[in-house]
Amino acid sequence: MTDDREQQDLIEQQELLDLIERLVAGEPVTLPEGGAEEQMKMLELASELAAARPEPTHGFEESLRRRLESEAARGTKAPVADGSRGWLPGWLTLPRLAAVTAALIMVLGITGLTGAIIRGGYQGKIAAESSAGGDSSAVSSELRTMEETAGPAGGATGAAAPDTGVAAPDTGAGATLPPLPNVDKVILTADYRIDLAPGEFDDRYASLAAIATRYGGYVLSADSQTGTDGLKHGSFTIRVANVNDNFNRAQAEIDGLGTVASKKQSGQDVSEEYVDLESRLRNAQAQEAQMLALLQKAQSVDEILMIQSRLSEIQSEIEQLKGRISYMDTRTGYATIAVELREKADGAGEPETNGTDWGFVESIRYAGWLGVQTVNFVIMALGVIIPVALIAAALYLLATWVLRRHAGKKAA
Amino acid sequence: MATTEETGISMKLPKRQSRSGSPAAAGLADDFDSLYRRYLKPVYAYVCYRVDGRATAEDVTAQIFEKAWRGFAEFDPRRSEASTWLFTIARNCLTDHYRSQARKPAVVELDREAGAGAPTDPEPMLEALQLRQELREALLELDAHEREIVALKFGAVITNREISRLLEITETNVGTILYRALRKLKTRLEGGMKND
Repeated sequence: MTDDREQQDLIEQQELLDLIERLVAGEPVTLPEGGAEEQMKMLELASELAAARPEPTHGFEESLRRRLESEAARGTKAPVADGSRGWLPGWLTLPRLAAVTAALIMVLGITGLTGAIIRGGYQGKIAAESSAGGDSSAVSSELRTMEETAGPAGGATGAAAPDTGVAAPDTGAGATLPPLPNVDKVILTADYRIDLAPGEFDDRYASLAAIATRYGGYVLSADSQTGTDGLKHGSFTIRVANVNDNFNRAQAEIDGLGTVASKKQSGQDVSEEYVDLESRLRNAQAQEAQMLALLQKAQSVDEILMIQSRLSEIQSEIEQLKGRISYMDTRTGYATIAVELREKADGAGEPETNGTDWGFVESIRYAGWLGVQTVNFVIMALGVIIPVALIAAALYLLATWVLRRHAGKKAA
Repeated sequence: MATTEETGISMKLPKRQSRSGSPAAAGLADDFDSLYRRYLKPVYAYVCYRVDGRATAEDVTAQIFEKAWRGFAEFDPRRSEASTWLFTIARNCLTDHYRSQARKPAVVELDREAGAGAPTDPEPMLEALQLRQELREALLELDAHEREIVALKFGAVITNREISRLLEITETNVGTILYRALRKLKTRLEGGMKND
């Protein structure tokens, strides 16, 4: 029923539309006899609308033609689609393109430079630190600055150590480093480089060994050499019992041996691994007990062989675990302190060059590094800036296009 | 109404730049002059359906043909029909016109409620149409899409197929909207009569 009605509607609609098509084309239209009243009325409306079509006045027709002809006579610039067709606007002239490009490059450069300077401040420090390995003067100068500035900031870093357990305050700061806590199952290590006055070496080495002993430890390794200039230097590793804050107290004494050129301490929390090892050990031991019990009950040779082979696997695992645990016990039971003693000619062990090193060479090196960084950063920034610039350029073109169209209208 | 040919105005309008090897397609769009002669009246009538008053209609029509002239070199009869091309320009010009109207409220007649019209489509009063007042008012009650199609159908007198291409809707859709618009007009007129 509904379908029929809709069908009928569609047919009527199509008929009416056909009639209208003929009507507007100026063909004679005869209203269908007995057509629906509604349709008739709509057709009447359509004819009324078609008849209402206004015509341009002769004056307008003529003046517009003259306008167009004069534009043609002026030989206006090669006609360019400015309307619907041809999206590339004719006003995209070279100067504008150049201006936009220049602006983009400037933005690019400034962004790059700023980025490099920001990064430079951060990375430059790291670069100086890492490059200082074999260059004592650089380290010392770096250190002096740090010792002066690292106070409270260093404290904050160190305070975080007990939580993370993996404390690595490798800033190389001196006496102001906070003491690391004596947490169970933490591998504590410290690295020192101490400058001595000539002739002090033997005495200081003896003191170092005494410190190790005093804090329940020992000298793990010692290696000393005398240079061609008669100055002695050597590397020592001592261990102190990791109890009663011995680690920190020993360090406090080592600080007094000479001029601390660099100092680094770290703690590695192995509690988790240790607990894991212990539980694995317990597990393996339980298995071992089970296997032994099974062995008692074993009837055939095959069974015995099988059980024994498994048993030996378990026992070897137990040995490994025990070894690892014992190693960890040692490493955590003793804190390791590596000390490099170095006699320096004259003075209190301070490298003399530092007194006259005004950082000029460093500045030049840093400037070079900054330059390279700037280039690197610009390259990286391109990845961001190019898409952004494309979008911005598109928006700019669109906006200018719209404005221009509007302005053109006003002028017209 | 005298045609251009009758008035004997010389045909100085340029020939369209010939494209290599392209045969003169679709005779009417062969050069700009014939385009002008063929489409001035439809464009003007169409514009009258969309704007307010003869002066504005003439203004906008002039803009449309100037724009068409400037863009004529880009027009490729193999790619689109002249009517589609020209009426696309016309619609763009009308959009621009509405925008500029919206941006210059001072120019808009004062009896219109300030700021009431949608910014892109200030209500044209259709004064250029030779219509009785009721029908004109009824036309203003159609929505933008319906009025556009009525304008294209009865003003521009182009086929439903051309309208469908221009508006990028299906031909059936054009018919349906046209039909709906007419029915709305009829209902509105009948209602108006009852009110009288």
